[in-house]
Amino acid sequence: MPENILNRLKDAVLKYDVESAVEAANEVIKTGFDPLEAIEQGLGDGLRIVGEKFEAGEIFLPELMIAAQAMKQSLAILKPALTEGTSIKALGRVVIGTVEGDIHDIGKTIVAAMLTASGFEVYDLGCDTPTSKFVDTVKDVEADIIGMSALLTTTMPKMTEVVNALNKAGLRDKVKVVVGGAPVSAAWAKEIKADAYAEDAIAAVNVAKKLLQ
Amino acid sequence: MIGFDTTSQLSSCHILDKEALDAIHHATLEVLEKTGVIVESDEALGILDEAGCTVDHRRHLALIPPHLVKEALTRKPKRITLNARKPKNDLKLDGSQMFLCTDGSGTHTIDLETGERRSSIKEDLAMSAKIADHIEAIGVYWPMITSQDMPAPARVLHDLETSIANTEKHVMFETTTTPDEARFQIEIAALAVGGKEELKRRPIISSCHCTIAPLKHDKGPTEAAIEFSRAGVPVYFLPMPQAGATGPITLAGSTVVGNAESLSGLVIIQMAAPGAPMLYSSEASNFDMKNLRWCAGSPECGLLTAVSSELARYYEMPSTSAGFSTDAKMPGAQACYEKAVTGTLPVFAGYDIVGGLGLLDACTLFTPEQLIIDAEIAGMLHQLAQGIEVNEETLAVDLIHKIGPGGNYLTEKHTLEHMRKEHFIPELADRHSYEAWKKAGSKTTVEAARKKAKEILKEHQPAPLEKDVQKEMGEIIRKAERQLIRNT
Repeated sequence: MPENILNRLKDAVLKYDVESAVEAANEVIKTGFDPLEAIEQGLGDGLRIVGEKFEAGEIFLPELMIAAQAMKQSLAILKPALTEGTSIKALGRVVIGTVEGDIHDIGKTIVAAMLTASGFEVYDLGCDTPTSKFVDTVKDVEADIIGMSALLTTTMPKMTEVVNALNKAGLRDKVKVVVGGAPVSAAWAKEIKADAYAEDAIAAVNVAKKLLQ
Repeated sequence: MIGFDTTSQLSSCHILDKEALDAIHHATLEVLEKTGVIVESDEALGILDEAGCTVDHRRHLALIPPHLVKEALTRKPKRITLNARKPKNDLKLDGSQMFLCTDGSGTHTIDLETGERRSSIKEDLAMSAKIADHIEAIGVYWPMITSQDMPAPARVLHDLETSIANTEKHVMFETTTTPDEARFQIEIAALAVGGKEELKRRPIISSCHCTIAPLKHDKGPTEAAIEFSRAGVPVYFLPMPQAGATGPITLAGSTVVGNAESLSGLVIIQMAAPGAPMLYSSEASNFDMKNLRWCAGSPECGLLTAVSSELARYYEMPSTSAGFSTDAKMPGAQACYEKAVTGTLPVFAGYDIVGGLGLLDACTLFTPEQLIIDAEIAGMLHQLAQGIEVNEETLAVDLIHKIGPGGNYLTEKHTLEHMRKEHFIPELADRHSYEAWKKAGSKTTVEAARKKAKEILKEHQPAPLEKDVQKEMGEIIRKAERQLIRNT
């Protein structure tokens, strides 16, 4: 039985089948199986294989994203059942969003999916995210990394605002700041005193890994 | 095996309308009846004589009356299948799909390791077959280069054996010059499929026979074609008139000369072996009056090639064509733009088989890099030829409604179901950011192709022939070497 449920979780991720993953996650709860094992060995194993396949060019972004979605929706079911004090062995916690005034969503969404698929615990705040929302979430989830995206030169200054707000809240030394988006550059990252710039979703994963080493 | 769908509207462009095709057909009939063709082979001439042609045995000239052409056209099958050692690779030539074929019979290669240009040897041939076997887009393997380290009279047998041993795809070739060679080739192919009867049922080889423009059929190759036809091996004649030199300067005139060569070949074969499987082809081009050379990469070559497919459809015959030809001396810019131009019309013209992949320098030089690049060019052209499919499923109105403004389509089942077919997925073209490209070594396309070729050679191993089959093939070649060398 335990073997069986782990395999079902893993297979659901490998088959890009969100429904089956959710179904299996619900069964984990119903049967009292260890949710941590289900997350790390069932879902985690599947997602690791998916990540490797993507890197090898065998599968494409939609497959990776759906696998990440299966992970995310199952996590929502399994996480509340974790015993107090246990935490998931993620590579790190990332809060991510597009800055206020900017409704460009797709690039940031892809980065979030790639990070999830690579083993990060991701809190995606969506687009047009108020500065206060970034700061509050970083504080609440004890984030290791904050990722900000902007596609307009007119919204880029919002990134500076968030960095300043993190400073003011005394969080800046606890969290690494990564910025990205079409008009954003490494020079801009340096200018606003962010920790890094990531040019695309694949670079974002590498940057995040490197920052937490 | 990838067959490229050719049923879309775009993939059958028309150079000539029905009226023009009729005009070419009637002009051809007139040439065959009044001018006739030289047939060097006494055997073939005898067959034509008996069938009712007016034959001048002293001049080897045959005048072919229109009713015989009509009779031959009724006898030949409309559709044929080119089988392969692995049945999964069988190719049904029914006009609904296009298959790609390697170019063949080259004499030189640029060494993958040393970069040196040199004569090709048997080992190079094996290597080219392995790479072609691996590339999914290639349906037919034509021995790309000849084994010049083997004794000349038996070279074609070494080439065939090496090809069959190193690819599980259909093998098409051109270099048979005598009926004796053909008999040995039939024996070798029969070994691979389990006997001559089986070969007749599942021909894993086919043979191309060049005519000599204008209007001549060589002795040996024609007799070899008859031999193949009787063994059930599909054959075709390949006219190569050079507009201005061995055909009229006008493209229509050279088309008539080429067509007369093709149709007279058809008559010979259908009278010798009624119902024998045949293809229609042409590699007509123009003669460069400045440099005095046959042009492989010219627009005229593209036009003549496209017209040939229209004639094949007109005669209801499976068609094969050259394409992707170039005069460049090394992989790179000239090779790629000429191949893209000369490949476009054959792909759009709706041929059953389009060849020419992998050779340079007017079809004489093989490089693994160009073979890999050409497969990619062909894939892109095919994507263009497919056009855009419009129906309820592809319009996806329900999905657009479901996603609404502001969402994305990345994780939709519809995306998953269509993404591999709806878009061309390049294997070679670099679509990374500048930084990522630089980080990966700033590789040129040719360098990337070289890397891929080396990977394929390291990892890909086609299923070997059974041990006793290999041994028997070796014995046939030794027997042939003794006999053919004695004959020369």
